[in-house]
Amino acid sequence: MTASTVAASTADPAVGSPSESPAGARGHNAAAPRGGRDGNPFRARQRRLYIPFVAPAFVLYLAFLIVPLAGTFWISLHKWPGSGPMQWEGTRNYTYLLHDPVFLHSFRNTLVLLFGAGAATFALSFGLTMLLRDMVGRSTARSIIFFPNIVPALVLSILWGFLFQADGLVNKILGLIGVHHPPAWLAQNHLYSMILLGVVWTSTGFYTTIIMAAVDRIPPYLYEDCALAGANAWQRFRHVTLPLSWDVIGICAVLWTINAIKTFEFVLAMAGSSSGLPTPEVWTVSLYAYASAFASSGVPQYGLAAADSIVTLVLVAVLVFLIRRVMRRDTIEF
Amino acid sequence: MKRNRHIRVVVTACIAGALAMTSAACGKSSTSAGSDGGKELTYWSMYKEGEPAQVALKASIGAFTKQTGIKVHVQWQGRDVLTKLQPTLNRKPAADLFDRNLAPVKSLMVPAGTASDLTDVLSTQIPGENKTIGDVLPDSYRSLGEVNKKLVVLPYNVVATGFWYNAAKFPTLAASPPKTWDDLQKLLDTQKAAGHAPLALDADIPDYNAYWYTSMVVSQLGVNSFHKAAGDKTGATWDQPGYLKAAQQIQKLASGGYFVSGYKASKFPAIQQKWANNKADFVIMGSWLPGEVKTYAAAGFKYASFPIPGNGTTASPVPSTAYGWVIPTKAAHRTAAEKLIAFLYGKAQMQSFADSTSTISARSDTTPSDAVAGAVASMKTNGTYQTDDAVNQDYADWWTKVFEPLDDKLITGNLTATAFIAKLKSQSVDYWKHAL
Amino acid sequence: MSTINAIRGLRRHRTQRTGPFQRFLGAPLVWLFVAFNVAVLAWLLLSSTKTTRDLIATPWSLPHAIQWDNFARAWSAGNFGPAALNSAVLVAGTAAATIAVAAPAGYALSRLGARSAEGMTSLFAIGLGIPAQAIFLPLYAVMNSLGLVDSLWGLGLLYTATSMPFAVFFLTGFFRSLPAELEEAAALDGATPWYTFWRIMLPLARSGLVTLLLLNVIGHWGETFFALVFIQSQSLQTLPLAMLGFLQQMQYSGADWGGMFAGIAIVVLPIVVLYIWLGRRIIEGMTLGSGK
Repeated sequence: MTASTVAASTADPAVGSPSESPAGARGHNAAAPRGGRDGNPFRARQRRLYIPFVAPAFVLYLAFLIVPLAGTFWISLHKWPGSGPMQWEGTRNYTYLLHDPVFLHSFRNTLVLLFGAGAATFALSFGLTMLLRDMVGRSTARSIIFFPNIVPALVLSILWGFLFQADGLVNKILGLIGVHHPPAWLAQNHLYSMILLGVVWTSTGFYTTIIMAAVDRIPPYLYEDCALAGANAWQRFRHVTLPLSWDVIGICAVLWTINAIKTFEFVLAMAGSSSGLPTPEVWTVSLYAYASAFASSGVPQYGLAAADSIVTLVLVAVLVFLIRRVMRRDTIEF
Repeated sequence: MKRNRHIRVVVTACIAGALAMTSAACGKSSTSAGSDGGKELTYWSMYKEGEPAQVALKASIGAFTKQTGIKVHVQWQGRDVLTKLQPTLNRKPAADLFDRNLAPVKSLMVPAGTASDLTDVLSTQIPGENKTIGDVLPDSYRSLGEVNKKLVVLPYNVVATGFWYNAAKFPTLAASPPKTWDDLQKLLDTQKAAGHAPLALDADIPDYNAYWYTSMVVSQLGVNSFHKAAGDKTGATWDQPGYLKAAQQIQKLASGGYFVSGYKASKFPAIQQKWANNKADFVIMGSWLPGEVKTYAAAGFKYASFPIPGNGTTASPVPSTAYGWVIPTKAAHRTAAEKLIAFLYGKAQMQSFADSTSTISARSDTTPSDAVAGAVASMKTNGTYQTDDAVNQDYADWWTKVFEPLDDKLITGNLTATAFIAKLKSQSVDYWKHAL
Repeated sequence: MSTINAIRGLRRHRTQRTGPFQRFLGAPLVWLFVAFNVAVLAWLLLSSTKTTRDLIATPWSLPHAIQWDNFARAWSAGNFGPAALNSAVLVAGTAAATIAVAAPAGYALSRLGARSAEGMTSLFAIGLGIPAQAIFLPLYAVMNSLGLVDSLWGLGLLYTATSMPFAVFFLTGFFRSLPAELEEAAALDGATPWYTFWRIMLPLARSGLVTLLLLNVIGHWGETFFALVFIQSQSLQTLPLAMLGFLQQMQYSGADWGGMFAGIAIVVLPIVVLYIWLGRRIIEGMTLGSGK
């Protein structure tokens, strides 16, 4: 339930389709502003609106996000317990991170979440999208799929406990079908996988909703033609769905990267008690920052938390840049 | 209340330097906080509205205002009280008095010198009684609020950690608790042989796992032994035999099937719930346990506890935590705050707080509830020490990053005692080499 | 490209689109997924009417007797009443302010052809990646110097500001996808640029605005972190803070899972209702490039 993390993550998926929708609208918009650039008096007057229109949003953004971010960078060069004088450390917090096995493990966990859970989420989202495309009751289904995003992480963590603990529902069902020695789902060595499962479950609803919106815009005749040409489901996906929703997938990949790296609430909620932290075995980089600053005892290490946040942000920036590079190609007009 | 909020907003607005980054000058002068006439104070509480503790405190504070005419502006902040207060402590504390346990005060306030020494408050006379606070506060409790002989938290109630069980099932145990780990081992073996699960533990909570090893080390090697090893940058202390022995004891419990099945793959409070429903016999936990499980415990459950067993020569002191009063160094209304503390230390007030919360009162002449009576008695005979040997306070980062992950593995049977000690040593050496 | 053209060439009549796989294996799988989600909501609501004992001992059974008391307790002990009012005002105000600020910006960035628009849009997009925990300390300094700590106005302003990256990014994309013809026609008719924005483009973007509004409300309704840091007075606490306070009481005053689930239900239900009511708009907003 925490923070704008959720605000952003809840909100994010919607970005996809309208902004980069593959449909022809794009052609228009490219033309519209450019057409006006030379000498059209209406255009000239219109452009006078630019600064007053953008300025309020930009000022807010600058004052409450960019300036504090610069502050965070400054803090990351210090040792600071949150009040009182700051002690200059230079890059020491950063070199410490490189040597801290817990950070490296958290970093690895984050990458596993990013790529492992990411692959699962996207595979499931595409699967659901394809299945939902022709189903009766699709709009009901897609609304309900979105629903886990509204439920607080705390509830999910309790639910996961009741489902997967030693005498939980899953093991009872497995017992009924003859599996008497099921894995210890919530034991330390499996706990992170169970957390990933929860993340995949909630995220799938999200990305399905976006990808569906994009796929909906693909004219049905293309699929009909495909079917006629004897293409199977995979071929239809490969040659129609994928290329025609490519831009939206690119946006989804960016959003996923950002949200995956910011994931921490569900992990924190799995800790079980209100004040404690979960075992470092399941930390992500976000949780690492949180733990450094908010541990229930000990001197808060805000410098370290800030350094971790900056590293995280750099990771986001690099990945987003790479995704954009990899995904870039010509828009298909249809 | 409304006026108070206004005051706080003004005060808060004035602490521009609190975060050391802003230099924005504060033009407004603080009109209200200035003179300490001893006629009012602001108290931020660690309790939330509706809790039994809050109800009791509210009534007492009402009585205080009635008797003294001193107005108390209370904010029921909850457990995050210090986190919220901290930014204001350097200039003008937003509260003159608050309550908390030692750990956060020690790490957030003591280094910055923002917590005042309350030793002199001990000589304050309790209104209507012929005693001072120091007269009724035992040394074993007082020491729980001290850092370097300075009393920064004046204890109000105490949490004691021990082995909890159902006295209805073990009627004789109160009179003859196990004195040594061997005695305990025998008791556990008997229970196991009879087909019972002797031990409960929610092993998904690292802090609960840690109770076992830390208390075992301290009972073997004495108070401060774990603390010393934790702070040893060479790691050599871990080679002393007592540390391995304690680990071996835990390994034996973990691999011997003494813990109730599922303890390593459940989510809190699943195992605690089993214990409260007689599916496991003993659990190491703080004295909040009876209060916490009462809503789902089996009918007729009689809460009782015995202390961590000793090493055969000496009884083990009781791992304890004190919750109590803190006055920031720069509090504007110190006199009034001290008066309130003295008033709340009155016997009637302390007794009513203890009764309604079922906690252990720090005042020695109050009557404890049945559930905690045993814990009170063992603190009296065995003495106390800081829970986890204060390592979670003083070496919190090491505790979380090095000790607890290894300890989790030890107690869930994923690491042998020898490997535990070896890794603890090597990882600690490595940790201290790079520590910030 | 070539594949598509080839397929296009083969275009014939309408045919059966669903294969046997989809009908007999796929659809049940989807409905299983859907059923799981519905079951979770039902479980949440059922749990909120059970006693703590029942809830923990038999999490999957039906309640023995419905405990309406759970809701009463959560409401009064957690002080949910005033908190709900604070939350409602705060969230509504934030959503309105976000749209008021972001809509002109999104419009300007997408349709006015300014040279800096592209870079500006990217700049906003980068902001999506900034986690709240990364900036809260310096933010405290900013808020403090503005006298905005412990004030609903301050928190609302903060919510609005931190909504900017997504809101602007989203609306820029949305405005960009609107047809240009109407705008051009308006220009030919001699409409002022302001009129064009206010009377033509904004109504066209309605479904996008509603989507943004809804997502914004959903996001802030449960926001805990900033609220925890920046609100101190009880009288100003929001619903998630009330919920948190209620949770904190449990260790000493007895685990109250029934009350906790009731509290969670109180927090979640308004959003579920809002979502059901406006949910279609989200999908519409996502799907449609052009509003009606």
